[in-house]
Order: sequence, then C-alpha cells, then structure tokens
Amino acid sequence: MIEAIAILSKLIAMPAVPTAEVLHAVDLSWAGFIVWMPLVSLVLCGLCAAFKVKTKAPAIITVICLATSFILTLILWNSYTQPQTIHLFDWLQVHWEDGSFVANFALYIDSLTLLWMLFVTGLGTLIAVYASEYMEHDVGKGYTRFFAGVSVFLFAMTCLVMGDNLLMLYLGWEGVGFASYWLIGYFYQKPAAVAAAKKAFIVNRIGDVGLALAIYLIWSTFGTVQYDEITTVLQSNSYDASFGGWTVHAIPYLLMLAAFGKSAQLPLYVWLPDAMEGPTPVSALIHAATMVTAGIYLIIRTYPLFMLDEYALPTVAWVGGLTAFFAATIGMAQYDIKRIMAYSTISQLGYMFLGLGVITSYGAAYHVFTHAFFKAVLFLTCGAIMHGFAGQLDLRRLSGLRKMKGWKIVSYTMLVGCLCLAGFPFTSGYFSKDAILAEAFVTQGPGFQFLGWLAIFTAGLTAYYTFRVWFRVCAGPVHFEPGDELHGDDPATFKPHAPRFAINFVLITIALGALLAALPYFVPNETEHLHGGWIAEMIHDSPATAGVPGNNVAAHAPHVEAHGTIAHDLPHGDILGMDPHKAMYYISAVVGFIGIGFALFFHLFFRSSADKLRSKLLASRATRWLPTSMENKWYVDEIYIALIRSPLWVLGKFFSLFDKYLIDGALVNGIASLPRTAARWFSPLHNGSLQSYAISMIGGAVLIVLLMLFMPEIVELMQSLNPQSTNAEQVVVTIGEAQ
Amino acid sequence: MILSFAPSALAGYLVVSGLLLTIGIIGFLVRRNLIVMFLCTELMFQGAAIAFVAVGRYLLDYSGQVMVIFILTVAAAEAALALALVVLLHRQKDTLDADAYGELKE
Amino acid sequence: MDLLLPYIACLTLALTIYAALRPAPPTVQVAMVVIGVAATGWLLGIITGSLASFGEVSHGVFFVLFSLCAVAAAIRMITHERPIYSALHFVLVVIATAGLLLMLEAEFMAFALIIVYAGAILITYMFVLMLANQAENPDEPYTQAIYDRVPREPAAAVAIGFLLLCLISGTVIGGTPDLQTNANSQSQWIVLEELPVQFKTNVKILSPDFAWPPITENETMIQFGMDGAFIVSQDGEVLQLDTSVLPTNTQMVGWSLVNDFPVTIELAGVILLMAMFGAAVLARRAIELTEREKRIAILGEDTEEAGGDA
Repeated sequence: MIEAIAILSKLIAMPAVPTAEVLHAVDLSWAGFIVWMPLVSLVLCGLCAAFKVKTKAPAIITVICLATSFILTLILWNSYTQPQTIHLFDWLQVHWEDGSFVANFALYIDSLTLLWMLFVTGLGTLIAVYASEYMEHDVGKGYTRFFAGVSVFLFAMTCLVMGDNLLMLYLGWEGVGFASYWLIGYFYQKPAAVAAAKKAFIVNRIGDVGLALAIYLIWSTFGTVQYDEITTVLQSNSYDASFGGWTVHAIPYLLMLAAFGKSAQLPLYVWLPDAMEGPTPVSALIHAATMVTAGIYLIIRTYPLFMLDEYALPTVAWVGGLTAFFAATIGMAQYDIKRIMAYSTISQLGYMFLGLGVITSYGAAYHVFTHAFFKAVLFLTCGAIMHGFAGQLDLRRLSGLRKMKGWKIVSYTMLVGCLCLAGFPFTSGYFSKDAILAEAFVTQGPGFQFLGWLAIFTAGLTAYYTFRVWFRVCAGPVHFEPGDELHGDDPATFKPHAPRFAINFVLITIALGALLAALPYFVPNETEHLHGGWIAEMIHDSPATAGVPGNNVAAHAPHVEAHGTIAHDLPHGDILGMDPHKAMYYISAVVGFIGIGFALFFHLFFRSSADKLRSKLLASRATRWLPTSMENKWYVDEIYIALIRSPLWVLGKFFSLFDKYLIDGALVNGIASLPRTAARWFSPLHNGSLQSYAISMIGGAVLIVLLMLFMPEIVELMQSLNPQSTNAEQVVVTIGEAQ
Repeated sequence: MILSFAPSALAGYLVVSGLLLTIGIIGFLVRRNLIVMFLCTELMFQGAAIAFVAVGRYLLDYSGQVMVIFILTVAAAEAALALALVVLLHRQKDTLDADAYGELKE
Repeated sequence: MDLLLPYIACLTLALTIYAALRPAPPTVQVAMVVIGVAATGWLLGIITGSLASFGEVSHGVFFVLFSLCAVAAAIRMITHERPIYSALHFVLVVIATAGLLLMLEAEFMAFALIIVYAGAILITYMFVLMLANQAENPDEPYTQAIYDRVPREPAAAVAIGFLLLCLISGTVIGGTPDLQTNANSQSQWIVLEELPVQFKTNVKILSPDFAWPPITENETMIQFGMDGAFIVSQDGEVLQLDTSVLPTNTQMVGWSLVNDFPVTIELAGVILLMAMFGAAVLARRAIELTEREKRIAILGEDTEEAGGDA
C-alpha cells in the first residue's frame, strides 16, 4: 500500500528545484490561453445573448472553454520546472526621472499559482457541468446570463491568481467582486436577491479600500508592485521606510482588511449568508471554493510583508479564530441548510486565517484545497435537494432522503462531505485541520494556546452542526414537503424531482476528489525536514514564503533553519507531553466523535428532545437569550444597521435636502430666475401701443440731449467722487471744454 | 444779402422751430387717429425746415435750403407710403384707432 | 441771459396746451387760446430782446405775426376733434412757415413748401381722411369717433414736450451768441461769376452802356474794394456792383444743389421712384383665386384631367 502510494507520488509530486541550479526555462507562452479561454467563453455567451439563443448552448460553450483551461493548467503543471514570468502584453507603464510604475499583463507561474489554478479551473469546470442541468428551468430566460457571469468570474479569478503584480491581482479582485454581485443578483426580480447582491458588493468595497491603499503604500515604499521585485527589495532591506515609517507598518493591516472583506471574516462577514440568495452553483463555486479563498491567496502571496509589523499576524490569527467560533455558534441554530453551509464556510475560512496567523501557510493552503472540495460537494447536494423539492431547504421539513429512490447518490456524497468537514479520522479535512491546530500550539504568540483550545472546541461544534444537517435531512423516517417554488401545483400531489446524470456525475466526481484530497498528505516530498507532503512542497517552492522565519516550510535562503531545528530552538509547545501533531490526531478525533454523538442523540434517535431542550432554554429567563440570539445570528445585522446604515442614511437625507434646496433651489434655480424676473420687470414696455413706444423713444432722445447739455457738470461730479484718476481728468476736461 | 442778422434773431427763429417741433411731438403722443398722428409728424418737419433755413441764412450757406428740399422730397415719399399703409390697415380693422393695433406686443 | 423767464413762459405755454387738450366749455377754450398766444408772444419777445435787432420794425413785426400764427394753428391742429379741420389748420401752419421763410429771403423754399405740402401732400391726406373717416354711430352722423374726441394721456405728452421745449430754448438762448457768422461772405459773388448770361443781363440792367466783358483779374471778373464789389471794363470803366445784380434765391439754390449735391439729387429721385412702386404695390387689391385659376396662372394650362393621381 505504501509502495503504491510512493509510486503514485513519483508521478504527481514535483521535485523541488534548488534555486542555485538554474535550469533552462521552458517556453510556456501558451499559458496565456488559460486566462483567455474564460474571456472567449464570455464573448461567445454575449453573442448567444445577442442572438437570443434558446438552447443550452451557453452552457456547452462555457464547459468547453473551462475544460480547456483546466487541461492547459494540467499541462502547465506537468511542464513546470521553476518559477517563471510569462509576459502577455504591456499594460501600464509610467516612467519619470526618479521612479516608475510598471504593471504589465503578465503571468507569474510558480507552484502556489499552480496549486490554486488546479482547483479553481477543475472545480469551475465541474460546477459548470452541474449548473447546465441545475439551471435548465431558465433556458431562454436567464441561462445565458448565468454562464456569462460564470465566465467573467473565472476570467477574473484567473487574473487574480496568475498575475505577476498587485495591480493584476486588484483587477481580478474587483472582477470577482463584480461577478459575485452579478450572479447573486441573478434572480433580480426578487428584492431579497437584489439587496443581497448590493450588500455583498458594498461590504467587499470596504475591503477593497484597504487593498487599494495597501498597493499604493507598497508602491511608494518599495517602488514596485511586482511580486518578485518586492521580495528582492524586502530581502535586501533596501526599502524606503520614509513617511515616518508608520506607513510601512500599516501595509499588513490594510492587506488584512482586504482579505477579511473578501473572505468574510469578522466584522465583514455579513454578506456571505445573504449571498445564498443566488443560485446554488454560484454559492458552490464562488462562496465556497474560489472567491472567498482570494483573501487567503492574497495573504500567502504577500506573506513576507506581514513581517513588517509584529502584531500583524497575531491579529490575523485572533480574527480567524474568533470568527470560526462565532460562525459555528450561529450555524448551530439555523434551519435553512444553505445558510448553515454558509456559516460553516465562514467558520472554516476562520480556520484558514488562524492557520496563516500561526505561521503555517502550508496548513492554510492545504485547508483551502480540501475545503474547496468538500464544501463544494455540500453546497451542490443542498442545491440538488432544493432543485428536487421545489425550493425546500428547511431541515425541519425534510427527512429520510437516503431511503428515497434516486436520492441515494445525493445522500451519500453529502455524507462524504460531512465527514470531511467534521474532521472524521483519515478524511482530508482531518489532516488539514490537524496541520492548523497543531501549529497553534507550537508557534509562540499572544494567546495562541487559548486560540488553539477554542479552535478545538469549535471543531466539536462543527461536527455537531454538520451531522445535525445530515441526520435530519438524510436519515430518519421519510418525510418531505415541497418548498416555495411550487408554481401552483397542489402540495398533496407533489413528487420530488430526482437529479439526473449531470448532477450525479459531478457530485460523485467532487466527492471522490474530497476523499482523494487526503492523499497529498502522504506523498513523500523530496526536501529535507519538510513535513506535510505534496502541498507543503508546492508552498515551499513558492518564493512567497521567502523571508518568513519560523514558517512551517523552510525558507529558500540557506541560512534559515528548517522545521526540525525550529522545533529545537524555540520552546516546543507540548500538548499533554506529546508531540503536537500526534496529540492533535487523537484530540481532534475525540472531539469529532463527541460532536457526532451529540448530533446522533438530538437529531436521529430522540428528535423531539431537541425541541424540548430549546423550549426549556427559552422558558428560563437566565438562558432565554442563548437560543434566540443564536437563531438571530447574534443580531449583528441589526447592529450594523443601527450603527452604520442609519446614520449614513440620515446623512444622505440631509445632503439630498441640501442639494435640493440650497444648491438646486437657491443657486441654480436662483440664478436661472434672475433673467426671468428681469424679463417680467421689463415686459410691460411691450404693450403694443404705438404711442407708448414713441414716448420711450422721445424720452430717450430727451435724456441724451440732457446728457450732452450737462456733460461738464456731470464730469465735475464724477471727478469729485473719484479723485484718483489723473489721465482721465485731462481727457474729460478737454471733452467738457469742447462743449 | 451780404450781411447776416443778429444772433438773437437766429435764436428767435430756432425757438419757433422748437415750438413747432414740440407741438408736433405732443400731438403725436396725444392723438389716437392714425392719420392725424402722421399729420403731426409733418408738423415736426415744418419745424425742422425753419431751423435749417434759418441757420443756413445765418451762416450764408445755401446747404440749409438744399437740405430742406430733400426733407420735402422724403416727406412726400413717406406721406404717400404711410397713407397707403393706413388705407390697408383701415381695410383690415375698419377703424383708424391706434390702440386697435395692439398685436405689436409679444 | 437769465433763463428763468423763458422757462416760465414755456411752462405757461405747456399748461395752455394741456388745458386745450381736455374737453372744456368754449369760453374756457377761448380764454386758453388767448393766454397761449400771449405766452408765446412773451416768449418770443424775451428771446428777441428788442425789435431793433432786426434792423427794421416791419421785419420784427412780421416775424412775431407769422410765428404766432404758426404756433396757434399748430395748437389748434392737435386739439381739434375733427381730422379734416386738423388738416386745414395744418395748411395754415404751412402758410405761416412759408411766410417765415420769405422773411429769411428764401423765396424758392417758401413757395416750394406751399406747392408741395399744401398742394400735394395735404390733398392726399384729405382724400384718405374722407375715405376712412366715419362717424361712430350712423344715427348721429355729426359726432366723431371716440378716438378722435378723447386724447390719450395728455399729461405725460405735455410734460415731455415741455421738457424738450425748455431744453431747446435754453440751449438756443444760452448758446447762440457763440455761433460764428459768416459776415461778408463772397459765395454769392462767386456764383454770379459762374452764371455769365445772368451776370451780363443784370449788369446791363444796372448800367446799360457798360462794355462787356470786363477784364479778368486773378481769374475773377469781380473785384473787391473798399466800397464793395466792382467790375472794370476793358476800357477802364469801373462799375460798382450792388445787391441788385446778385442772382436770385432760386438761382442760388439751384447752383448749390447741382454743384455741391449732384448725387443726392439722383438719390432723391430714386426715393421718389421707390415710393411710387411701394404705393402701387400696397394699394393692390387681393383677389381670391380658385384652385383651377391658380394652376392656370402658374403652369399656364389646366392639367387636372391630364395628370390624374401621382
């Protein structure tokens, strides 16, 4: 068995190339097509929309283009030897005498990029296949729009991941934000969907401000926005720490803000649960697997910059840990299974940030990788249930699905997902969570031990609420009720509509992926003292981790110690006297079983006891706050509305009144009314009477004669009022004399 | 006619001319009959004629009288056309009242 | 000269005119006329100072007479309610003006004025008045229309007129002493030179046995000496010329017109031509044509049956 795995590893593991040995770079200029294929798909979907195509053609186009991207990524992975920049075309090049701003449309291929691109393109293709059947109700109505949105999203995500400078990353960042907005608001006739789309975009905007400011500060400090050049400057310590130096410390916090916005951490997570208003493939692709991982990617890419301030990474860790716990408590009390999965996503993202904060970028990346698979599977199964039961997602109204005909695949793939999420031993989620949890106890930092125990407790909560869903929906007696999208049929004669080939195929594929994602852990890697298999290899290869001391992977520079020596140099955080990783294996397994046990008790065997517990808690005054707050998501949305939205609304109202009455009324209309008033004064002159016109003429003539007669006196008068002018005096005097 | 006359005599002629002019203006503004209004403009021409000839005589320059010839010419042409227009207007509205033609206003 | 008195005279005149404009009983009207006349005479008397400045008593008397006649006729013209009487009073004004022009030794102008104004323009006015003047009420054929009886805003008009009059008289009285005069102008002698036939005739009348032509000195025949102008015949005879040989006013005006303003004569002719055209165009009567007649007039034939629908 081990030999088989070893042989397999030889096929898929990439040897780490020491930088001292410069190999002949392979020509990879065709890699640009990975970026261009989703764009081609977008253009073709646009043409379909223009010609009002009423078939499934947009889906076929998108799947073909995305599959091409995926195949190209595989080929790229196969022919990858060392980090390389592929220049596509010149984009922004501004030069002046003492500086320049250069941001080209170029691709930076290193192993981190490849890791991300593999699951982005792979899951993108599979979910596009899933969506081709899931969205078939909308063929001819919004089908093309959906696939155009998916293409835009994938193009932007590719730009984000493969760009070689921060500006391309920003382009992709904004692009995925836009695509998310477009796709969440897919059902634009529903006000809730529109509001959710707006909320997602606006909350992301807050993070984007951080990113823009960070890019500017990075440019002004390091003089460049390209990754490799930043790393060079950082390592040689030749960066410009002017502006008093505080701006350099601000960079990691601004980057952090951006990552929290995009990856839905405290306090900017509020958009993710509402984003479930979009169609389920969107939730699976964007809000589980790819877009929300953009924040993690950003931090890993700019990891060396986080060393600029000593409290940056602990902040990340604390935010991540607290978010994980917070979201888990909310998820325990929701009834909508898609919402529960959304909160679970937030919680798992918190884990990833915790991993980044405790300096295991390997752990975070591995968790990203595994989470992408099992969360996608969970969302897609929820979607299948929604699709088949006319929109029913309440777990109190569905039960026993695994015993129904045609629903077995859905139930069992969901079981696989739930096991991975809960961290059942030997699933992929088990190993990835272990990497993070162990490091929390190893790395020294403010309160990291507490965070570690909190994370373990949250793992238990995760197991509980995950299996709550599965035991309620897929196990137990068979019972179902149709949901809101019944379209007028009689509920009594409702028959659930089981998923067909495309959905089933995708579910099985991704579930298999989720299981197989555990494998890379065991692939032996070829760098010394590296712990963690293929993923670690991939991260290790990336120059992004250069210069980060104490990172789980050894840095490139030869003088930095490896993990083993770190373990010897720093006080080794023992847990109960054992090696951290081994201890974690046992503890997390135990905690997971406890959680599953609770779920088994409350939601399979003695279902009524759950309701009884809830009513008992509600009855007692001391504990009433607990279930109500948890069900109401700790009132975070209400707090935001009161603290932020209402004052802004009042301010906006004030300014609109200001604009309406002062600027429009007094200034613009006031100035406009001057000619009108003047005209009204003078219009009685036009009374149509010949003689009144004659009077005006004669009066004018008399006035002129008067003026000419009394010119000397008038001149004298003006002179007496204005004694300064000397030249004018003489001129006027001569005129007066000529009279 | 070699000698001119005294300036005060010239003043007298000019005042008469001014009187006729003024009375013509008053008449123009006061009367409502179109034809009488035109007649008053002719009165103003008389005043102007006296003024021209008086000053021409004072300065012993015959340009003043030549000017009056032309005034006469123009007055005649203008009178002809004005009366033709008045006749047409009278055909339109059957009245000679100047206030009846109020469409001159906007 | 102090201007206060003339202003008061003007004010009196203005009030008189104002009173004359309002409908009033006949006695009041007569009284107004008398006062107006007196005011005008006073004004003119003030202005002209002593009558002796004119040189001859009759000259000054005639001046005042003609002036008063003109002013009185003018005032009656603007206040009379019947337009025909207004026109007739205007004729009186024209005659008075002609008299004033005669006193200014502009005989040609005086009679040309009478011929053109009273003889042509006023006749035209009379025709149009008779054409257009109708009584308001056919049952009372002797009442005039309302727009003839009631003046419009006499106060404002009189005020403006008064202002203008004060300005003019003030300027004239205060400013004319500065006016330069051309005493001893030789323009008439020059013109006489240019009219050889007239010159010869006049000299022959003056002195029948003068030998013609006289000698030419400095390109002129007439020479000037202490006693005035004289000509010297070729025999040496000196003939003093007096004013009787000078050309008449008509000749002078004609000479001035042709010598100094030839283009203006042509332009005046063009103006009269245009007036004639204008009058002819304006006085056409519009005729309503039917469609058929219009087509025939424009196309030259009736194409209704031939054309059909397009």
